[in-house]
Amino acid sequence: MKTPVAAASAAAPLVFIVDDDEAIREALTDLLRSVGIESRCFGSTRELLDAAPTDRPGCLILDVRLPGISGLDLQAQLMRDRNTRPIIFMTGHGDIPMSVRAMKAGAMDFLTKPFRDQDMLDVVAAAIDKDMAQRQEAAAAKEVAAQAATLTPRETEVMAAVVKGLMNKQIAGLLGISEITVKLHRGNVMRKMEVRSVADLVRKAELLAR
Amino acid sequence: MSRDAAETPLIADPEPGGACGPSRRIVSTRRRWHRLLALLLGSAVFVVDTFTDVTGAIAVLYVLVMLLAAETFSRRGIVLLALACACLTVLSFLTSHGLNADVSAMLRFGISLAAIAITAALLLRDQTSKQSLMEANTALARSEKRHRSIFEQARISLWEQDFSEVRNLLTTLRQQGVQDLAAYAREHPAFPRDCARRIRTVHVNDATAELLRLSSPSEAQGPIERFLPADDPALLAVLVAMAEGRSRFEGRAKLVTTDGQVLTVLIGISFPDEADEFGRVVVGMVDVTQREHIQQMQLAAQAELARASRAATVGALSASIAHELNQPLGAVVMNAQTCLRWLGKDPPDVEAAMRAAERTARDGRRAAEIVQRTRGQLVRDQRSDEMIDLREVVGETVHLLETELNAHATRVVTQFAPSIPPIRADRVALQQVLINLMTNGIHAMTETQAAARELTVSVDGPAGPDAPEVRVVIQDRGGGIPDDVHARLFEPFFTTKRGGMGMGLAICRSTIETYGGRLTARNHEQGGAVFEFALPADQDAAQTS
Repeated sequence: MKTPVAAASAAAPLVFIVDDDEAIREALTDLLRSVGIESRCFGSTRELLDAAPTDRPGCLILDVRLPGISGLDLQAQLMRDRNTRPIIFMTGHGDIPMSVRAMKAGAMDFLTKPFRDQDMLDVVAAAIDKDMAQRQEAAAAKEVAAQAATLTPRETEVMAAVVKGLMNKQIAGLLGISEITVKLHRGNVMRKMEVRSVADLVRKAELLAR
Repeated sequence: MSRDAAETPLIADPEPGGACGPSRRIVSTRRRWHRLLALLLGSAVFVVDTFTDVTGAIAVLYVLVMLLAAETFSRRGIVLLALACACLTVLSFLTSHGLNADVSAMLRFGISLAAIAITAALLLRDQTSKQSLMEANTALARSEKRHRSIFEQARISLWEQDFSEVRNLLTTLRQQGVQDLAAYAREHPAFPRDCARRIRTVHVNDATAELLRLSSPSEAQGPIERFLPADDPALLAVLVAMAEGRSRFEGRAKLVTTDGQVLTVLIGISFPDEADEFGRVVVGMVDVTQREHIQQMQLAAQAELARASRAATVGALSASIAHELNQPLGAVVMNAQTCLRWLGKDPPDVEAAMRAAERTARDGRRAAEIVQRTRGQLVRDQRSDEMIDLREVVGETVHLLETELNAHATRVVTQFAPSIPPIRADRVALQQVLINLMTNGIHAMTETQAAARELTVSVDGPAGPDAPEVRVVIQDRGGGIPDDVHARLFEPFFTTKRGGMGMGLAICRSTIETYGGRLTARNHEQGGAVFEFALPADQDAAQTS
């Protein structure tokens, strides 16, 4: 069991800022600090990729034009790596094709410098919320997977049939076992999966299927 | 008898291969009479000389025989005739006086022989000169024919024009005290046209008829007025050349064909030395319309390309400036907003707010620096300074603008001071300034009468040792600069031209100022605008030279 303090610090959001201009990095960091959000700055995408990974929730604020790997390229690379941290783009001049491309690839927003502070803070807050939700979902899925791993092959077959909505008698017929045995397996499944109702089991089975 | 025998093969043929038929017969009939008469006269003289006692040099009359016969004899015939006459004289002398003649008879005999000899010599000389005269005449006729055929067959348009009336007119004007014909033409706008009516075409060749779309060369005869467009300055230039007594004129002119097409031609005229030869002055023309047209299209394409690349440069530049400036500006805005946030907290975090305010000031300064640097780059970037003779640059620019000048029927007069020190600047940049100022001048005169469209470009050396600078003055004869325009003339984006950017004069001024000079504009007392720029003379060059 993790201690509550460690869990709290791990849950505190952290924002990554990537911009080649130090003045922008400084200003953005101070802006986020004024609303109590911690941030970490990088001068290029390379520096970001070289940095130690973190499991704290948060988001990325990227300038579209960056030396080396551009913001858009980084976005594509993170997508391939199944890194779901939300991305907010900034640009010196509104470039419509570029913003369309970024948004289609799943960016949170596309802000043109200079932007209103409130706009940036709103997007950052929304991105952090989104990341937290994603993380919770991922954690839940992980838990369910762990529970499912404890099931025997027969129990797994029974659970699949139950989730499909089959009755005990049908399941017995399907698997070629007695109805009593089905009931026994079913009880074990409910216990191992830590659910009280079929509805809860169905929800967990859905998480597993993802 | 012996004379007749000698005569026959000796008959001269004055027109070898020439006349034939009736004329030849008439000539030979007359010749026969001459010869008969000579024979009779000769016989009579011999008879009288030999058989009568008439004292006197009767034999001298053989001269008459020779004169009569000479025309029909060749050189050899004349010599033989003279010998025959001399023989007859000797015969007569011996017959009548024998060997012991008295002194006076001997004297008469001598005189007669001398007369025959002298006559023979004179006749021979006469015949020689007659022959060479005839040869010269033939050669002349051949040469005339050859030149005629060159004139007629040449693929270059050739005209024979009668300038005598115009020449008289110019002489009269000079006697009346007209010195500057161009100025006179400005005061009398109808003058060139009047002259065009007085210049008559006498003859043109086939190439000219073709050029003018005439069905026959004879249709070109008469005043040349109908082939000249109303406002072509070339005619005045020809008149000025004539008035100044130049022997040649070469230039560009416009012609209107009978089907209304306007052609551009290169024209060459050789003015004769003698006054009476102005009745037939040969004028040559070459049609360069097509060439000119292609050249114009090329220039237009070049101008379009230059405009496009300028636009592209401006676009790229503004994009780069926008990007560079946006970073510090974005930071400035963010810092200011954050500063407000720190101050808006309860209690306000003044220390954090101060830090944000300091960053705001720092980034603002950075933005200003970027603006400064970019401006500096724009002006300095593409410069390659060299020693320049402004007279050369003016000459080159006039050449570059030739098409534009022709299109607007504008003349350029350049006035250069004899000694101009060099200046140090970028040649292309200065050319751009001159092109700009001269084009402005040309455009300012579109409303001016064609004859008065004159652009004066003068280059003057230092006014004194305390002002070591070279001045260039460009004066037009347009409407001048209105007072309300004058104040804003050099402002960027100020223009009076439709479709103008308003950058021309602003760039000109900044270019001139980059080289430590100044550009000013004013109106001339006699009308028209004057643009003047002065550039410092290169001190090193001035000292070494």
